[in-house]
Amino acid sequence: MSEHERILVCVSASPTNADVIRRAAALAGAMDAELIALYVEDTELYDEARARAVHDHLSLAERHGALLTTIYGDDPATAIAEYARVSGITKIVLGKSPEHKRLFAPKETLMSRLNELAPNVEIIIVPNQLTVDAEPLQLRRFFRKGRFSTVDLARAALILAICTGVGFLFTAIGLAITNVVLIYILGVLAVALVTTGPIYSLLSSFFSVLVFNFFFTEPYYSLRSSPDYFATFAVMFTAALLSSSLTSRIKAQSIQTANKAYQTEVLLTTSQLLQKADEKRAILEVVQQQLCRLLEHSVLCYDSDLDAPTLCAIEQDGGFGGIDLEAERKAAQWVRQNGKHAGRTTRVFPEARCLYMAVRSERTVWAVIGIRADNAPPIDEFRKNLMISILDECALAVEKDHMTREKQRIEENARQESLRANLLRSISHDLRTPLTSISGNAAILVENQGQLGDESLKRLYTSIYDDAIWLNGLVENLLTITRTENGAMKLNLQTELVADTVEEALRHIDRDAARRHIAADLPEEMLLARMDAGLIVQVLVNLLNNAVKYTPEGARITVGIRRKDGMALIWVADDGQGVPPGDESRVFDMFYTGVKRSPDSRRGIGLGLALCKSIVQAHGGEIGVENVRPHGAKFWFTLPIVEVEGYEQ
Amino acid sequence: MNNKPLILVVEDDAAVRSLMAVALDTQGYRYHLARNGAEALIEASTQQPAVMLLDLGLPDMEGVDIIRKVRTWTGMPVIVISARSEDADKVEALDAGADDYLTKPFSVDELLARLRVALRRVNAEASAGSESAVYENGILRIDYAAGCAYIADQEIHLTPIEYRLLCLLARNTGKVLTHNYILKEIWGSYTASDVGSLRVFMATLRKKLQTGGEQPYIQTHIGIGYRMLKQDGRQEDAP
Repeated sequence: MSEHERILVCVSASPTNADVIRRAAALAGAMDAELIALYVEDTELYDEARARAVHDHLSLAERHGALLTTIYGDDPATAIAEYARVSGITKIVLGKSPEHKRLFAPKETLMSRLNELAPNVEIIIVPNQLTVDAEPLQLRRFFRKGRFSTVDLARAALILAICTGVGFLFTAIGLAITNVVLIYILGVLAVALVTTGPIYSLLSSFFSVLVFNFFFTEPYYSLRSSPDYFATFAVMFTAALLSSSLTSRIKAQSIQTANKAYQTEVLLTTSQLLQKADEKRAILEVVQQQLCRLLEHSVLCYDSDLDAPTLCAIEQDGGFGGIDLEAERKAAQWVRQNGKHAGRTTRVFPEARCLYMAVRSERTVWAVIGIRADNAPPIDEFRKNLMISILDECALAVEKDHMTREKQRIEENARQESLRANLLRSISHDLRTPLTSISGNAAILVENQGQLGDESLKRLYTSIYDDAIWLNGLVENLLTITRTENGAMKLNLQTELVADTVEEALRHIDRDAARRHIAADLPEEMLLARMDAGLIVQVLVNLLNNAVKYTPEGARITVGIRRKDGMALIWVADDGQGVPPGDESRVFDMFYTGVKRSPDSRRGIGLGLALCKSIVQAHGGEIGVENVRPHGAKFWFTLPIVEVEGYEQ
Repeated sequence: MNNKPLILVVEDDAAVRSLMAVALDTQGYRYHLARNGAEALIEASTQQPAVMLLDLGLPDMEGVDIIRKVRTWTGMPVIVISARSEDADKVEALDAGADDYLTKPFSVDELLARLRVALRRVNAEASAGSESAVYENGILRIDYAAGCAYIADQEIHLTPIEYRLLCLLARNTGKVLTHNYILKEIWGSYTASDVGSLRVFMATLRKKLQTGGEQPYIQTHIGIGYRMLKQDGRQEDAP
């Protein structure tokens, strides 16, 4: 069978169960199978000795590497069979005899029922080795379960007395004796409701028969009675007992329903909170707080790097004061490496003050959660199961978060890669053109010394100079691109006068600008903005050079500043042809180079405006372009204004 | 005998070094060339140059360290030349004691203009001695004793902080003063909001000194600092 074996061992309170678990573990080890310890919690009333036994067996199973699961159900066979079917169990290990039979439970053995309900699963029976007292009688448990409480006893007595009173009333007004029998059955029902433990129901059933016999059957005031009544007594006793048994079942069930509702609620809240948490730290924090609230223990949490843990302390157990976290770290480290529980209440690092559990998925331990367990009541099974569910959910959330991030990173990398490839292609083309011109012009100068007229000489020199300057501008933009890593720009932010940037930019624009009319429209008001001055100057230089590049000689270019809606609005307007309609947003795309131009035309690889956009956005501003009347383009961008305080004239 | 001042050029790149040598030659300056920090320190200490042109990216030493060492014995003007367009490097060099900076690629005109500014500062200091009671720069006049400033003999009305700023710039005419330096000198300790205030004070001060079409007295070096320019009718300091 190529499929992975999954072995299920049933946990019970039976003294032989420990042996069963050990054997199942040995079997799982031998077959290299996964071991699952299943405990079917039923509606039996809480019994401390039983709970402790179950707890011991569960932790035994856990030490043997079993995965713990608890399910709820009154019929263990159906519950086990259902679980086995759902989770693909291949083998079930059982003890020789089912642990107990309920008073009115079906008499078939667990094994035969399982065989019937889960025919595909192999059932392995481990014979009893210990000689145990014959399975404790139901009656003995019946007595053992309830402890005598005088209050409950008094209640039972009082109810019985009231029933007797009502009985007298009924006979006085001449009602049939059967009504009195019904009154007593009703009384026993009431006793079952107001007392804890079946002992009171049993006692009141018994005594109600006695009292009925004493007061209401002939001869009155004597326990002797005619054999006619024996049948009545028997039916009365059975009816009372049965109904009380049913009542206690209902009561137990309602407690369990409440527990289940609580569990569902906790899990639901946790998943809601987890959905909102969008980062590993936040996820861990949610889980930590939920656990803290649920268990009422202080909880600490190590991230996978085992750096300083985050603490979530509560008062009930004294928080983490006085705990040597450095010493505790070893246990956490072990959990991180092995992905298993350690610390207090386990065999590994039992001297630790906390119980450490891994938040893990298939292969990775994402974090380690520590729960202070040295001076608080132990965590009951119910909460422990909840805790494990929460940890599982946490692991899922962290894993999902991790995968999303990983995916994003890969996508981002791919995007950057293709961007870089595009960039490199464009750059090598655009670098080569001016370089060819520079080297060619220089070669002419070298080879034709003395043969060139002043006019041609000047043209060659100017061409070399212009190309060099243009190359420098390109390099400047490229340098800025290298500063943008993963889309995030590292800014050296300072408060600057916006007008200063305009003046600075006007000093750095191309020589061609001399043949355009450039005017500055600066406001009276001094607008300050937080910015990386070098980058904002570069934005302005790019916009101005762009305006120069796309306008004919003699064109008018205006650069202006205004306050608008709490932002500083800076614009560069020209009276050229404007942006092709529909291209308003595309002009800021990388490698957009305007109207179709001849393939060998140069100047501009569509880098400048894209760079402007990312610079302005990194400053928290916006950038845009609109065409103006009668013709021309107006590029604008905004920067958040800084209001100066403490300035007094 | 050549009375022209001696310029020390510290530059590791041969092409740039020869470019500067040619430029200095055309103006008749005497110069010494150093290829690294060690040579620079030897030349600076033994030859007593008037001005040092220092490249920040030397193979053997950080340019900033050279400035700090040189400043232990001389106040000669140091103009740093940096290929890095990062403002932080320039500010660091200026704070370490450099007077001015140039960013590669620079034009020869600009190099010579900066050199003249630096040399004028040397001359002014030599002739005026330490602190004179009156500062004169073109049509700007500051009477330190009276605590007044004049433009073309017209008194300009300045707030106390503006006056102190003007004096600080005047005492360091030709030198680029970084924001940090000015803030420390005027405010002592400062907070982030003072940085904004400084921009506003400077802008108003510049406006008050602005008298017409000529070159402004205070030059803004965005992201770096401010500088008072020496004016003498000729406008040659345009960067």
